[in-house]
Amino acid sequence: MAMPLQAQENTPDTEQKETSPEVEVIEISYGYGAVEKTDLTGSIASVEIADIIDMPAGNIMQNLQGRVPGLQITTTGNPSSTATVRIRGQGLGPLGNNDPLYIIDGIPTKSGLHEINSNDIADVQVLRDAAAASIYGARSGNGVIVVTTKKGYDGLDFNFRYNRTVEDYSYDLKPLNTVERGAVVWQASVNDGTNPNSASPLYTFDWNQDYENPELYSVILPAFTDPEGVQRPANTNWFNEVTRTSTVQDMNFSVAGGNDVSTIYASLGYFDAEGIVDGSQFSRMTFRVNSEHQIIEDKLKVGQTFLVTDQKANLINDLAGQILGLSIEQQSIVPVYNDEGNWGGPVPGITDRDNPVRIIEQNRDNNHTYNKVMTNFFVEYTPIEDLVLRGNVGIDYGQFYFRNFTRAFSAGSLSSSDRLTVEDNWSQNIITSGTATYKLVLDDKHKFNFLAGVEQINFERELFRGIGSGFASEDRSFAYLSQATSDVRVEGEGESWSLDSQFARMDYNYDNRYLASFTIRRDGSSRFGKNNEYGNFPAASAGWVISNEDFFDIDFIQTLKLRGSWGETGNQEIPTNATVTTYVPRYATQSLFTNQQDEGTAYDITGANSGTLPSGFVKAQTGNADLKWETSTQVNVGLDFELMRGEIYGSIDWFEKETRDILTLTQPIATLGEGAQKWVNGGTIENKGVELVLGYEKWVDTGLLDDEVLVDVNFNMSSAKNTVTSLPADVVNSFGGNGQDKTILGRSINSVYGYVADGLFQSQDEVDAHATQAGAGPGRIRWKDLDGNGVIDENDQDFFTDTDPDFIYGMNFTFKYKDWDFNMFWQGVKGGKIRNNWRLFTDFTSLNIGSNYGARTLQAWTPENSNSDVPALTLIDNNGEGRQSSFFWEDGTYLKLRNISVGYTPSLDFIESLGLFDARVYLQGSNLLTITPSGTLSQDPETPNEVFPVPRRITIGMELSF
Amino acid sequence: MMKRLTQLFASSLVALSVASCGGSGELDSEPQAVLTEDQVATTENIDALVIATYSYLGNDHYTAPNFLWPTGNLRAGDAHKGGNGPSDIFAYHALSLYDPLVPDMESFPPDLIDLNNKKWTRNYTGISRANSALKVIAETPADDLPTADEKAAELRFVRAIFYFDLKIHHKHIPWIDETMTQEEILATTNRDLSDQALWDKIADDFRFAANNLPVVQDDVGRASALSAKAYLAKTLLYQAYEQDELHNVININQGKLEEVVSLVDDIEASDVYALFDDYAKNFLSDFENGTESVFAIQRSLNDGSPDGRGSWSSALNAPMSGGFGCCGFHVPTENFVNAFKTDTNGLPRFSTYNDSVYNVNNDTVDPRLDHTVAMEGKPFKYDPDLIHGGDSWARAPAIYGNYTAMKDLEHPDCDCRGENGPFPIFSLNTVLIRYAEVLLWKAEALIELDRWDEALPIINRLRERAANSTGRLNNASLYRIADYTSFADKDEARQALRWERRLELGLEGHRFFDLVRWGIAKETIDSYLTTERGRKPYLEDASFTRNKHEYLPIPNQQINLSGGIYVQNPGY
Repeated sequence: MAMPLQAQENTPDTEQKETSPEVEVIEISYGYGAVEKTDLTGSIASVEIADIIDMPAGNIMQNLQGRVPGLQITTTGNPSSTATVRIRGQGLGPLGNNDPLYIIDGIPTKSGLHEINSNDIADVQVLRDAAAASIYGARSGNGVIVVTTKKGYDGLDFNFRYNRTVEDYSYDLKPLNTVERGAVVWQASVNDGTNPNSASPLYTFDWNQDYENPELYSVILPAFTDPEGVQRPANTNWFNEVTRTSTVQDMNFSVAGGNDVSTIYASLGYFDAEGIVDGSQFSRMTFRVNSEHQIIEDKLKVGQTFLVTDQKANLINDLAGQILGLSIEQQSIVPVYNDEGNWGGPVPGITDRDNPVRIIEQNRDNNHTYNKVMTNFFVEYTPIEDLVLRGNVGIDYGQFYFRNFTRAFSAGSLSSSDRLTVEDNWSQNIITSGTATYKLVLDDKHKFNFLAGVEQINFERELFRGIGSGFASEDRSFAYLSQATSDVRVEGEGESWSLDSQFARMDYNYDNRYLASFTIRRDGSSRFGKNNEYGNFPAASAGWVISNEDFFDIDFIQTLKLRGSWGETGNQEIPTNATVTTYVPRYATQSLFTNQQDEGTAYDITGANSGTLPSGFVKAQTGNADLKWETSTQVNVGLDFELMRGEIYGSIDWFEKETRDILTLTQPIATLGEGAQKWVNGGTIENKGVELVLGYEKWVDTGLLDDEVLVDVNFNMSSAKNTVTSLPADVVNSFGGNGQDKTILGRSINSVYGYVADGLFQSQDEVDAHATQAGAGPGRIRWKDLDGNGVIDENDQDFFTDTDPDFIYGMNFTFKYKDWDFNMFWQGVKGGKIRNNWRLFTDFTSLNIGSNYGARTLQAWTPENSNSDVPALTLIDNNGEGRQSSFFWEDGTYLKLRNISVGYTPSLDFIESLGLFDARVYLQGSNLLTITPSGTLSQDPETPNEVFPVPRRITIGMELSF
Repeated sequence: MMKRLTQLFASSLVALSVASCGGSGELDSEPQAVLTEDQVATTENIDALVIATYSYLGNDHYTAPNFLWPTGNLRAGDAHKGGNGPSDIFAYHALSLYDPLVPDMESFPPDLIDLNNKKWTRNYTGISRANSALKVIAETPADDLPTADEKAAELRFVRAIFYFDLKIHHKHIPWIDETMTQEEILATTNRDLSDQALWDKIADDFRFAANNLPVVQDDVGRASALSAKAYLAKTLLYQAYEQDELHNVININQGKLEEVVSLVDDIEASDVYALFDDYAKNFLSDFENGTESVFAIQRSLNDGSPDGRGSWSSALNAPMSGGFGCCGFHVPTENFVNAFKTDTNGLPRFSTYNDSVYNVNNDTVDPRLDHTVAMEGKPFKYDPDLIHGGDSWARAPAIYGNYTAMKDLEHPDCDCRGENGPFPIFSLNTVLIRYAEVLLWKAEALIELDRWDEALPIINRLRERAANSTGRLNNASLYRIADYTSFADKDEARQALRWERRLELGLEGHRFFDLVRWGIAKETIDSYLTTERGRKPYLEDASFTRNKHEYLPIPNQQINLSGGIYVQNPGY
């Protein structure tokens, strides 16, 4: 095994050249205890921490992308290192909850590993099948990730790590410059047969006035674009204005040590990241102490883990998608600043959108903080040999605080007054548990492991928000709520839930040949209805170690183990009040944008026109006393093998997971009125797939070099096919379809419904030959007449694709030679369609006529340029080309060189001469290469839309132990 | 062995019970920050529930407005959608072409919201607020609530407004009232009641309101006996034009018309309402809730709500310049502007009005044009210092031209203006019924009752008021308007009445529903499209289908949710 240079539990220095799996006892944490890896019958994927230890420690899940089979991770370039994690496919998508449960040193959380310093992590196990996960009952349905942080050990080591990363990304959407855009508008207007000189107040065109053979002589820009005469035509490249080269720093200092009685691990970490969108910023300071103390040797032990995290993130991290969108939407003719030094902004002829540089500059100091204290205390008592009684109390305490000062501004025709929003969101989760484990060996052949336990979880949250306007100063240090002079309001909300559980597990091993395990958990949840307060989650698994049979005598196979499991897991992620009918005195709600509208009860019945208004009550939702958890039944069959004395190893897992009683919010018929929607259990979704790991590891004597070379190659692949088998009648239409013969049933939940684009009409003859299509014409998109009735209408929509990859994979190559190590990691996705939203801008002048367009419009279809895939330019979208159609969908396949690195570990003599214990330096590059199929226009299929793009990264780092 | 197992068992029990002490073992989390039905549905809360019902009238929005500019004006040839080209709220573009590619208009990003379904759903939400409150009243002993009938009258009045809106948009709708259980609601179809029976239901609600409300209310926003009578008259007028299954007008019910006349007579006799001396006052916030406003949605700003309860229905309709910056929707058509042209006698140019585009220097016009439409070189909202800049005020002049509809907007410097992102909103009320329209109903009924001579003075009364309403207009145009001297026959009277409605109530959201009521939607819209298509190429594919486009489809989603028991409208 390639041992990481890190604090090992027992053996800080175990660089072994000969792998000898027979003597190595690897324990796998899998919930309230551990099991020897060789005894494992469930499907658990272990993470090779060593492979990712050199990477910046923002969020370990981000670094695991592509490295764990069955785990689909999608990331962005957001400096707060967000990652979306799916284990073995997904449930109901937007209406359901698909996030796995994380168990961090015994403390459960749904919020990810974001607040954890990756440097502190000793071990990550991904519990994929029900046999492994069902010990976590009603929260385990989306899989469970068990994280254990480091402990101290005999001795005393100090460790210092530092790495620094430079990030960059170049946008290639090629927005038009100011004169080019004018020419494109002219062409579109001429195509429409309208007068180009009234097409936009921004341009005057000198042209031959001949619609048959149009020729443009010049685009004349006005001296000023605004009536007030302060905003001159510019030629701004907004992408250049809002992006930058950014840096990330990661620093960690830890100490690990101990003696016979006590061990301790403590660390201080600092992570500071900028994103490539100017102004985006994230920093995190973490402090951890883990310790264990033997009070009575072999009888009584106490221990604790303790984490404090202080996180700061800039609002721009969340606005980056909008800022990037504006960088193509906002026209280049708009200057960053106008003649008076105020913000440039929209004027007549320009869409009513903001200046993205303004958004950045006026939010540079708008940071929110998130503080977390996560601590666990345990007592372990061993009254008799092999019986361990353990009591645990954990607290997970979170505090989100945001004083968001939105400054008053005017930018062109846009203006807004100031607003301060102070938000305080406090949460607390208290977990108490008790477990008893007992090991029993009978006749040397029957080995038993018993576990029984109880757990109680109590969660509380409260949010307070204060809002005010009218501040006398723009200075953030002035802007506290007391200084507001108008529009002062407060808001608040709270929730609480609790879980009361009992569980038990038995592992059995007969003669290292036959393995079995049984699990049962009983969960009572306050989220469930009165008629269904408790749920049971059983699981069973079995294993057969064929290679330990007497009859087995295949020399080159060292280990061959067949595993099978069945079990049920649950998902309880519904709002805490979902079971009861609720009313609220809702005064008013927001009504700004297309998807918002006031749902309040206030009314100016006296005609006062302002002031506090009389108001009433509304029904918010209908209760459901029968509501319960959703249940996933999962079957898993796996095979583990080691060949050639362990040089080749691998495993294959096949699974089938059926999730039923899916938790969804209904969309009731309108006549039932306000608050009729309720949470129900309904619907079934199936996920099935295969996961594969294959590795080769050997010290090879090439004969050419004067020392052996370690070759460590690892490949993993996984697939998950999703099928919706049933849904309640009032939910089934939430996923597209016509509600009758075309529904999501029998398809993937990620299916896409709409029209099928069938190229562009090349001539009037083609238009005439096609079905009757309103808005058809040469150069326009041809919609397929799916129902063949000769008319293009709403019945010509169907499910035309889905976003599910065929499979995802990763390939890791490690070579070591003397003091040098070299690593290369490729990660890929095969299949699955992505929607390239940028094409609304890059390919069309008609879908947002006041916006900027992309350079592709310069190559739009004309009778002379009929090979183009960009529809003919027009300002009038009579063909409805913005409709949901296959036009915007492209192949999401990609292969990325995620990581390539070289490291140098100086010889021990040299290190010791410096007074050090160990040292290492390394250089690595991330995302240096992305390979996509030829039809894919997206620069990065991983982030095809207005989200933070994943940048290229170059990291240099060092590590010292002393 | 046995001893060891016993020890094991006992120890485990101790450990588990110790651990359990940490929590109570009970699932005692109570719902936070919510109320139960028992706490809300009380006699003390009746007025709060009534307010919540009124509130929903003002909870409208540009995607589901109660000022019916999209369905009333865009479909009638009076206004273009405007905005940032066809894809900017494509659902309204589709409305303007009469043949939405998808009945639900739902597949068009970035406006994925199915606006037809949204408006339908919001109307039923408003209805459910009324029904919940009516249910509380029904369950309250009469002694506990002396005002029960009056409160019920207000609730039924507001409920009937939502039903009226549904009725003129969709014709066949499910009728839900406070007596129905959930099972009964789910079993209700949109064809349980006939077209006429639905009108009767709506009329019943207004009639109940008229009989149980005070003549005048202290709170200007509340329904009164008179506003209920006005709505009842409006309902009966619509009902009088009886339609067959395919929306053809097959009979005009004289009895209903008589009732309209007598209701308006009552309203006139009460002396509560009058025409403003200056037409302009109807569209200025200084005069809101004035003598001509019969029932209005009360708008407010700086009222403790996140974005202000202002005129969100018009939030897209301000021009791109002149103190505004967004969003250039609701652009009057040439055809509409031309309708204001007058001949040498000061009367509408019925047959030649649309032969050429209005020319400000040559064409004489009805003064109401300059109250209704702002155009290049003329003042905006009566301000001689705020001159409309033509193309530079418009969003997409090549597509929609550069007129600005003015009635629902106020002056940019008005105190009644609020600012939210790019959207200007006002506390200017949305007048649902104004007295001038009440008078025109009477005139219409009289004409259809063959008493057109009695209608003549009513129409002339409005024309005289218009003639006298030039004080704020800065002589921006060549005004010429005069009375009709007489109507030769019923056809001439009808023509005058229908023209007068278009001018007097122009862009107030009535026109399309007038055309359908009169049974002349197809021919009017065809004639509009013939010319306007040449002026605005986006209309090239617009085509109105008789026996179909008179009504919107029943939202597909609702048909699906009904389990197929709703019946789609003809043609869809």
